[in-house]
Amino acid sequence: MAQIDTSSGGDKGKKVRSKKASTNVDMTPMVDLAFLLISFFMLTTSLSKPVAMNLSMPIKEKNDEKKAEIPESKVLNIICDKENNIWYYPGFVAAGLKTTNYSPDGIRKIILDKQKEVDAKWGKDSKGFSQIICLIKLTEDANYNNMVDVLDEMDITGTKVYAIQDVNKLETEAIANGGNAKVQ
Amino acid sequence: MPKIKVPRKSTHMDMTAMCDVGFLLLTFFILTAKFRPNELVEIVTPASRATETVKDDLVTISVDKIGNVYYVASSPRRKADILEKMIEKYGTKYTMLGSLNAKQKAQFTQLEQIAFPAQAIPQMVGLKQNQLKEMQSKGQLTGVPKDSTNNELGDWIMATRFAYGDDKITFAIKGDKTSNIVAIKRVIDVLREKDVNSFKLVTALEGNKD
Repeated sequence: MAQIDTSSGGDKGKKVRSKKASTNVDMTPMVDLAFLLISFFMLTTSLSKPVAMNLSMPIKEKNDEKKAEIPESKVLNIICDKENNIWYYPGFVAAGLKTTNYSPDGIRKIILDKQKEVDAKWGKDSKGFSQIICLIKLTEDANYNNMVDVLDEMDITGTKVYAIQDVNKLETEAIANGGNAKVQ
Repeated sequence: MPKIKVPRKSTHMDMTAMCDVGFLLLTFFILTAKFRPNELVEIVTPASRATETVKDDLVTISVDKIGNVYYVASSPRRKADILEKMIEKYGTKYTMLGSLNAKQKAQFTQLEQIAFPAQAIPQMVGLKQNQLKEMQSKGQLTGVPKDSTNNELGDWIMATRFAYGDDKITFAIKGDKTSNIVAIKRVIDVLREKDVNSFKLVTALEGNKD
């Protein structure tokens, strides 16, 4: 067969006996090293991986003529202000603004209450979601955390229609006036 | 009284199984480990309920606490294309930028982020990340200009879109918890001006609030 003949001429016929070494290797150092590395990688792996939330903004219109008509009774305005304060009011006219906070009993309850109100009047849409429309407004004193928190509430409450807008003049005045519209 | 003989046992035990498990775990952690990139500024993202994990090929616009904007495009090949586009636009205005040599261009592709105006690229490309960090801590880095008079952020976005061509491109905004909303809104506005109406907000998983 195709074996290499390694035997020298004199030992013909004799079998070459290799020494029988023990197959047991001392694995202790290897295991030590392995577990050292395991602990290192376990500790350095960041368990909190970043996640991403989607945000879609409407296409910028060159002129404001093509604004969609929306019924006033579906609208809830949420205004994020400084120091984690939220102002909210229904409809289009900024009057009688009330404050709340970001806790589950705060803004979430208000959105859910408004949803019930809207559902009673308009019913659910074809996919079974509430037809509420939330207008999210952020004052210049709000921070990014507030924005993400409110967007999160939209997800939690199943609000499908929401928009991020600028605070209008009436609202700014109302906030400065402690929630009430300025008396002319 | 007869003595009870305790049979002598070998102190060696078979560690093969333990080794197997150990190395299996080791392999797993080595392969899944992803080191946090050496970021210029620490940005603490707000937590959200979103569960979609971030992909690597995002083009991230980071906004730090004081509202400076940093532009992060990950792939070096893309960065080279993006730089070419920017040189096309600003090369005549800033002659130093127009006359970047091949070595400087290669250095540019190794940059972790763009944290300075286009005019400063020739001086900045040679710097190491640590040197940039030092400059950042001294407040010498101003980020990418985003004002309406000098809207370089918009130019970077356009250059990126050219560089990606028909390939899918995802923009993400990574803001700090305490970032003022004005800076974030400006970034969103610039994105919208450049017809990027759908993008991602990078957040941390809820429950990891610290």
